[in-house]
Amino acid sequence: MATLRISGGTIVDPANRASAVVGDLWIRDGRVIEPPSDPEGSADRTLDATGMIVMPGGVDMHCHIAGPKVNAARKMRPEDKRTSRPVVRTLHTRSGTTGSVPSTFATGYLYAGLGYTTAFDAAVPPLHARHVHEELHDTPIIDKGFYVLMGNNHYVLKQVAAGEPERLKAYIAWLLNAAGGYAAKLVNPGGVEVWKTTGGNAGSIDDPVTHFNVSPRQIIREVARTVQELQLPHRVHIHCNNLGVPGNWQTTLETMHALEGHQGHLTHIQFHSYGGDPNDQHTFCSKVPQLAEYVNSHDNLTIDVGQVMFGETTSMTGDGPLGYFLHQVFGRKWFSSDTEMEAGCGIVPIEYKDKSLVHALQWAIGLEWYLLMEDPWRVAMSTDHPNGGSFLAYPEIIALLMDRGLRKDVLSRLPAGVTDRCTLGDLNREYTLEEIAIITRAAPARMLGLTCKGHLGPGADADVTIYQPNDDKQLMFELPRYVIHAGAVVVDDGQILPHTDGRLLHVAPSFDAGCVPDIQEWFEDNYSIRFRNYPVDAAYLGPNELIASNEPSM
Amino acid sequence: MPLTFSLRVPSSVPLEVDTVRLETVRAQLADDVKATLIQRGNKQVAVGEFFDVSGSASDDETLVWQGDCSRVKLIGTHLSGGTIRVEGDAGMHLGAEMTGGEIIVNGNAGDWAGAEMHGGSIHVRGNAGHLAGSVYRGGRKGMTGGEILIDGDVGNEIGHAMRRGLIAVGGRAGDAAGVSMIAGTIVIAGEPGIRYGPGMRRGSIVLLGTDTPDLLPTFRYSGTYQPTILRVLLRHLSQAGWTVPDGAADALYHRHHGDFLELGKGEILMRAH
Repeated sequence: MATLRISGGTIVDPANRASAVVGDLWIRDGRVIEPPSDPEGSADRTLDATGMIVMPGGVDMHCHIAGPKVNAARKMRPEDKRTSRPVVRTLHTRSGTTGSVPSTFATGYLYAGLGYTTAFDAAVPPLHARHVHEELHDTPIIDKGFYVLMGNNHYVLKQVAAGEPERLKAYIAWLLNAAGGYAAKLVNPGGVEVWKTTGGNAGSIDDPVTHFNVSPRQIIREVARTVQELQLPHRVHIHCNNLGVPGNWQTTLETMHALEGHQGHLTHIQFHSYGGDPNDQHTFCSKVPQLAEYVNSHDNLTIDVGQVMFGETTSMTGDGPLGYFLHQVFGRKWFSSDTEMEAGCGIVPIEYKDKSLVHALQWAIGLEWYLLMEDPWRVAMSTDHPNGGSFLAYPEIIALLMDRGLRKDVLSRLPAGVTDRCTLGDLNREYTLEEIAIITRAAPARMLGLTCKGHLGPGADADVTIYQPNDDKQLMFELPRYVIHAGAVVVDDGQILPHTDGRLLHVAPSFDAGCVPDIQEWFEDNYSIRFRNYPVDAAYLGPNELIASNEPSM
Repeated sequence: MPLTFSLRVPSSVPLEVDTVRLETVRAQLADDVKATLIQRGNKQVAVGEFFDVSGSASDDETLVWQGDCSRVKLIGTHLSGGTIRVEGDAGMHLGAEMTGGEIIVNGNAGDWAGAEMHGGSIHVRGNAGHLAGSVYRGGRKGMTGGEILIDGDVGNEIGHAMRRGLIAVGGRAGDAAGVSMIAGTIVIAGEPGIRYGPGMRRGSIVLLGTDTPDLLPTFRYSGTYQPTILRVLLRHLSQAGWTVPDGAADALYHRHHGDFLELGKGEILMRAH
C-alpha cells in the first residue's frame, strides 16, 4: 500500500508529546509508521500541511446514532427533517437527511466532515443489536461500536439479588458476545424497571427495585466490579439515577460512593449535577464544585459532560421515566417503549431556550465541568448527541472553552439568576489546543481502552484531522482542511472523497460455558424469541476489529 | 402585462415550481425565467420545457398560471407580496408558508392549500382539497395568519393545528375540521362533515348552514345567542367577494365549547332553527 507523508504540520499529539512539534507524519497500510531513515523519495504521496494543525481523528465516546430508538426519533420528527438541509447524492455520497437525528449515511459524512473518525452509540438493548449493526453498516467512514444496556436487565438483577457473582460475570461476558457490543452500560439502574412495572421511578439508589429484592446501589457496585474483573477495555458506563431532577447531585455522589473504588465512567454528568429541591424549580442550582472535587480526588472515575446547547433538538434515552418527565415538562409528543426483559426508552422533541433560567443553568453547568476538571485526561467532550445538542455543536463548545471572553458574552445575555447559581462567571481558565486535543480524542480513546486511537505514535490507526489555524476557533474546528481515516484522505476541504464504511469495534470476553444452560432456561421461559436466534452471528458484524481485554500482561 | 406561464406540455409526473418566486422572476426577462430549474419527479428540468412564458411582472407584480395546473405543485409557496392568479386548477401546496400577497384561483386547488401560511390571502373560486391551512405532519402549528377563502367544497382536516387566521368554506366540508386547533376561525357555509374540532384548545368553528352535525361528547352546550362578532366577520367576508348565506348574520347560534380533552376554550357555533 502507498506511503503517505504529511509534511511540515504542527503535530498536536498529547498522548505522545507534551507540546506541539512541527514535523512530518508518515502513514502506511492504515497505520502511523516511524519516519523512514531516508525521507526523500520514500513517500508515494505528500500532503503539505505547512502552517496547519495535525491532530488524531476525533473520538466521540457517547452519542446516539444507530438502532431502533434513533430510527423511531427519525420517524417521529418529519418537521425537523423538513427544515434541515439534506445531504445530496454525489459521486461519493449517498443522499440523506439531517436535523437533530440525521439518517445513517448522513451521520457518517457529518462526523467525518467534523474531523471525527470514531463514535460509540451509548445505549443498545441487546435484543435489537442486529438492527444496530445494520445501521452501523450504513454509517460510512467512521469506526464505531456500541454499549449494551444492562442496568435493568432481569437476569442481571436476578443474579445481583441472589449473590451469584460468577453467574453475573458469565452473563455480562456472554451478553457482550451475543450482541457484538463494546462495553457495559447502566441507565438509571433499577429505576427503569420500577417505571416499567409501576409507572414510578427509583428515588434514590437505595430504593428497592420492584419484585427483585435489589437496590440500584447493589447493581452499580456489582456490575462495576464484574466489568473490572473481566478486564474489559472500557469500565462500566453509568447514566446515574434521577437525571435532570433538582437535587440529584446527592444521587450522583452516592453513585460514586457505590462504586466502592471500582472503576467507573459517569456519563453526561452535567445532567446529574443539580442542587435544589425536586419540587421547586426556583431552587435549581449548580453543584459542580462539590462533585468535581470528588472526581478530581478519585482517579477510579472518568466523566463525559453532556453539554447542553441552546436550540431545538430531540431527547432520546434508555431512561423510560425520564422520557415521560420531559414529555410533561415540554408538552410535546412522546415515544415510549419497553424492551422485554432488558430496557426502556423515551423520545421527546425538546428545545433549550437561553431565556429559560433552568436551560441557561444547564448550559453553564456543562461548561463548569470542563473548567473544573483538573485532569483533562479524565473528561471527554460530549453533548450526549442529540440529547444536549447535536455533535455538530462541538466546535462551538471548543470555542467557548478556549475563550473566556466568549463565555462572558453569552453569560451576559442569559437570565440574571444564572451567575448566582453557578461558578461559571468566576472561572477564567481557557483550554489550550493540547487540552482540546485531549478531551476530544486522546482522553476518550484512552478511557475506551483503544490503544490505537487518539494518538499519532507509530502503530496508531492513521486517523488524522488537519486543521487550518484560525482565530475563530469555531470556524477552525467546523471545517477541517483534511480528514484521514485508516490512511486514506476521506475529506478534502469539506468534500467527501472515496472512503470505506469503517469498522465495528467490539469485545469478546471469555466466559464460563457452564453458566449458559441457566441463561438459556431463563431465556426460553421469558423472551418472545428463541434462544438460538438471539446472538448476532459473527458474519453479521461486517468489517470489524476485536479489541482485546486490557489484561495487564498475559 | 403580467408574467404568464401557460402549460404547454402536460406532465403526468407532478411539476414542483417552488423555485419560481415572484421576488426573483419579476426582475427577469421571459427567456431567463424559462431557464429556471423546477423539479419533475427526481429530475430537474427548465420551466421552458413545460411552459410558455410571456410578459413581465416588473410593473404589476403579478404572475399568472394558465392551463390545467392540477399537477403543478407549490405554486406561490413562500409568497411575500404581489399577486398570483391561476386561470384553471392548481396542484397541491398552493401558497404554502406564504407570508403576504394574494393568490386567486379561478378553478380548483389541491390538498394543503395555504398549509402553514403566515399571512396574505388565498381565494379559491372552485373547490379545495384536504388539509387547507393545516400543519405539515409532525409540526406544531398550522396557519398562523392570513385568510383562505374557498367558494366551493373542501376535504378533511382543514385548519389542522391552526394558530390564527381565517378559513371560510362556501360549500361542503369534510371531516375533522379544526382538529387540534390552537386558535383562529373556521367558517363553513355548506354541509359539514363529522367530528369537528377534536383536540381544539381555543378558536371558533362557525357553521352557517342548516345541517347540524353530531358533536363529539367532549363538547358541551353553553347557550344560544346572536354573536356580534359574526356580523363583523361576515361583512368582511362579503366585501372580500365570498357569498354569505342569507340571514346568516342575523341568525341565532347555539354555542358548544370544548374540546374538554384539551384546554376546552374552543367553540363551535351552529346556526339555530
